[in-house]
Amino acid sequence: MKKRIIWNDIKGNRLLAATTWLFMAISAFMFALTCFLFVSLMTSVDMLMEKAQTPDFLQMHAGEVSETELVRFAEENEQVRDYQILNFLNLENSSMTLDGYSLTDSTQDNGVCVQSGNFDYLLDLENEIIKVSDGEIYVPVCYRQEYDLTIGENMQVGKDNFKIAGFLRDSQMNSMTASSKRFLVSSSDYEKMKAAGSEEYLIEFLLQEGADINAFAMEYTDAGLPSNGPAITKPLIRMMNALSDGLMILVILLVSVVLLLISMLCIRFTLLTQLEAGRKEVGMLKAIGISRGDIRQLYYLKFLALSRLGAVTGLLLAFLAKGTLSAYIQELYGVSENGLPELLAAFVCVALTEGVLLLSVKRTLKRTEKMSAVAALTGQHGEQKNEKRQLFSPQHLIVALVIALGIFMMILPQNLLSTISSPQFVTYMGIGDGEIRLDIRQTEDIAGKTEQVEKLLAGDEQVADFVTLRTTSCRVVLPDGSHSSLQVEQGSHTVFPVTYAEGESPKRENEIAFSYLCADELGLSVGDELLLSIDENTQEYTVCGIYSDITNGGKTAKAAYLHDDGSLMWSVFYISLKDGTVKDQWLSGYAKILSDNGISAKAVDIQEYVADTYGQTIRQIRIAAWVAVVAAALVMFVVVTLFTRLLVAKDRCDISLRKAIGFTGGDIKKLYFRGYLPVLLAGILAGILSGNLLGEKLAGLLLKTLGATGFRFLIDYKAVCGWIPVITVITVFCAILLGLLEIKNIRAYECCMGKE
Amino acid sequence: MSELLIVKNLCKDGILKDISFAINDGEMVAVMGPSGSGKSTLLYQVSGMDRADSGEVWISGTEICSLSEDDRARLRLEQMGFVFQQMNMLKNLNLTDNIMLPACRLKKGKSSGKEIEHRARMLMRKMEIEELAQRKITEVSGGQLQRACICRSMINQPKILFADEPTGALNQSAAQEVMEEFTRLNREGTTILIVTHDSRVAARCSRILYLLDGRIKGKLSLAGTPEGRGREEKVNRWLVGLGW
Repeated sequence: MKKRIIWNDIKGNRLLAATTWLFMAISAFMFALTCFLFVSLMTSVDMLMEKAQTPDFLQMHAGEVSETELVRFAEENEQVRDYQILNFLNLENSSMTLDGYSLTDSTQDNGVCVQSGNFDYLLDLENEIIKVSDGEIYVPVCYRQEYDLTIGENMQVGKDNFKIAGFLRDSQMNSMTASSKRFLVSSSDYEKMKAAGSEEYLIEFLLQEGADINAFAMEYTDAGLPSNGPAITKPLIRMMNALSDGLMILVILLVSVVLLLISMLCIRFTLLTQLEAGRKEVGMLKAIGISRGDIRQLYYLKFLALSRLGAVTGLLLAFLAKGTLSAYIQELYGVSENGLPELLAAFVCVALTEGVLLLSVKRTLKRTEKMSAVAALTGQHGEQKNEKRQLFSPQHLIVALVIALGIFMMILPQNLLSTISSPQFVTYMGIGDGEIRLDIRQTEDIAGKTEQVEKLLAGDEQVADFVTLRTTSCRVVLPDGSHSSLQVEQGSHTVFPVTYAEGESPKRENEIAFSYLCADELGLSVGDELLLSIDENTQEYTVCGIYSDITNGGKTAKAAYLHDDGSLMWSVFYISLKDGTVKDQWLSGYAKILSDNGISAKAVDIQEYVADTYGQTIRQIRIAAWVAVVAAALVMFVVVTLFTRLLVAKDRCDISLRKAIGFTGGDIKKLYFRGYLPVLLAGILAGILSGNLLGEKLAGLLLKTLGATGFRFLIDYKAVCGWIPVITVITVFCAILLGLLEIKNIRAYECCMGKE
Repeated sequence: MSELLIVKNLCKDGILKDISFAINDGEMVAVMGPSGSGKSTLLYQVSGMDRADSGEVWISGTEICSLSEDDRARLRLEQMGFVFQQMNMLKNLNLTDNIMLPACRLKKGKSSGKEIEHRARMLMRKMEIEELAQRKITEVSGGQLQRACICRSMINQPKILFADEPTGALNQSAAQEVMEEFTRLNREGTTILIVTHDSRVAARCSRILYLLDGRIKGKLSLAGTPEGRGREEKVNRWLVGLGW
């Protein structure tokens, strides 16, 4: 009986049933896809890190390394399970050519290394430890697509030629957000190449299970061990690996949430329409003694069946679509050996999604309780008693809401995309708003070379302005007496400022600003006082601002003046040119000047740096943004068509009457279009406002987790005020036309027959 | 003969004013009156579809005004049958399924699906609509549909059957057929309360209550009056006397 009721109900209301199924399937699809991608990313990253045995703590260092001190430190420290010192030969990008493509323009620090002995292995695409022969080279997998490489092709390093024997996965430098890339060669080839580059060291530690990595990092600094370079921890490596694809997944998640809202609205409305049409049936059922619960159940069963069908459809579609969207994830990190967690997570996620939709159905069905058997049988509709003339009918209100949500869904990823790809986005990354950035790192006599570059820049007529920022390692003593090590960037922070979420950049002595993540970790806010120690000198500082920084884990600080220069770890120059169009010529000319002066420094066009670092993320978000546009247009089309058909069905008698008194089909259609006009305008306006204001808040929350604060959308006006409203108007117009087709089938005499 | 339905001092929204009467087990009683006199309202109160402002309604020894909505629904499902003027049935079910619906909604364990279907078939055979069993409700005539409604009202073997203008939407011959069925059911022992405008329908009952402005203005017993034209004339004369 139940099956017959469900089946007959579905057959009798095919359009409504199909729409309900469609919304349930779309919601299930989007959430299942998000889940598949997220779990796939996390399990693949974890698997790679496990197989490669990623170090828990890694200190990059340029300069001499005293192995005896390191051995003593490692052996005396109970937390250390294993340790090793790896060599990394930093090469000039201009000396490297991949199958004819020069790496000159690459903003990455490219170099070669040999396979690790104990851990931090470089793996092949089967996630097996690579054994490389003489004359062969393994290339970072992220370059395969970028330079369209295949195995067997040639790579030139200086004068040496290598055969590309395969591609490698590097658990710590795989992502483009990591600024260095390791190529793998044999030991003898490495030895031969040594003279062509500058050697750096990767001092790596594997710690005991449950060890406090931050405390270990502190002990390492306190021990005065080599630290001329950035220090990275395993959680940071994990985050950097997850970041580029994670952003795309977060965009899909946001779109999924909006789609779920639209689905809830539409399913609720279709149900209300059915309840309204079935008011007499409900009254009759009540009259003959069917309980309220049983009446709800009669309606609910159909939604339960459609929900199950939608869940299965959504899961299957997501399963088919995940391959395309996770292809890059799988290339970078490998395919997770166990697909069960993905499937289980997606199943739970879909069950939750359908649960939310069914809960909304159950809530709506409570309306049947208010329907009185007597009122239904006597033809009185209690709810219409207080009906007033409203600006929008319930159908119009839903359509306006769906248009607004659809536009929101299109605008949010577009704005995120335009923000991330805009020149100003660097200021959220902790990078000054300049045109060119020049780094002096991991080399000897950094202080001397910094002064030399300052002189060169000061004498350069093409340079409009520049600042020097020197980074020194300090020890910070917090108000509660606890201490922590900190890298403080000293210099003028007002010329090329980063984005400040609170307060302002440090200008006076004893002022210090912290990155959001650093301030959060240390529990600091603007106005707090703390002590800063450099080489046994301690002085009091006041927190003047909190800024946005998502590079290197975003745990940095900035000061205008430090009471002691201490040992300089690296310096960075931000430069703007008088004529921005000659950036490329200036950069190539300057590379020569620096090299002639014996200065090993890396100068990059900041825009290119962003494009290189976030290129993949931008491409992924662009895909997500287009998926959102298509999904939003489709949803708007379906909803408007459905609601127009419902409106025509409801007005059938009126339309017939109008035809009887001489209205043409065109006249009647015009009336509907006129009715939709304010709805469309209100929807577009609400969508644009919410997309820009609420969307900014949502994207801000999302980026805050990565350390970017004070986020402001850089609105893509072409999209927001141009093609998005145009697509919406065209979609809605076509949908209304389709929905109004039924008008031609309504005969003028129907009203005379009392037919509804 | 015991009293199956007892109504005491029933009042509702000023439409019903202090109504009291009783119906014996096995009786067939008609409620008549002009439009707006409160006939249908009375039926809704005594069947528990609506709750009276004051007064008491007893069915088989249970006072229903004090019951919750769900308890009253349960009582209607188990002990009452309903036939309406509009022949309301679920559009998405065929005749058999519509007839079986109230029995299927009774708590499990009472009857198996096969037993219910058998009962439905028996009822349809009696009402001569068995060949329409699988038809949709839109594929049968008004008279056939109303007979299906009577089958549905009888599926749970109710103690009392309430009918609200059961012939109001039917043509004369269909109305006559339907009334034949009511009479037969009553002869078989079913107590029936019919609200009607039609004096010919009322003439088939054993007693008539006449309602005017929410009060019972007259009562007519037809017990012992032979069936036929004479009975109808007696009813008509009585109605004229009441200002009908």
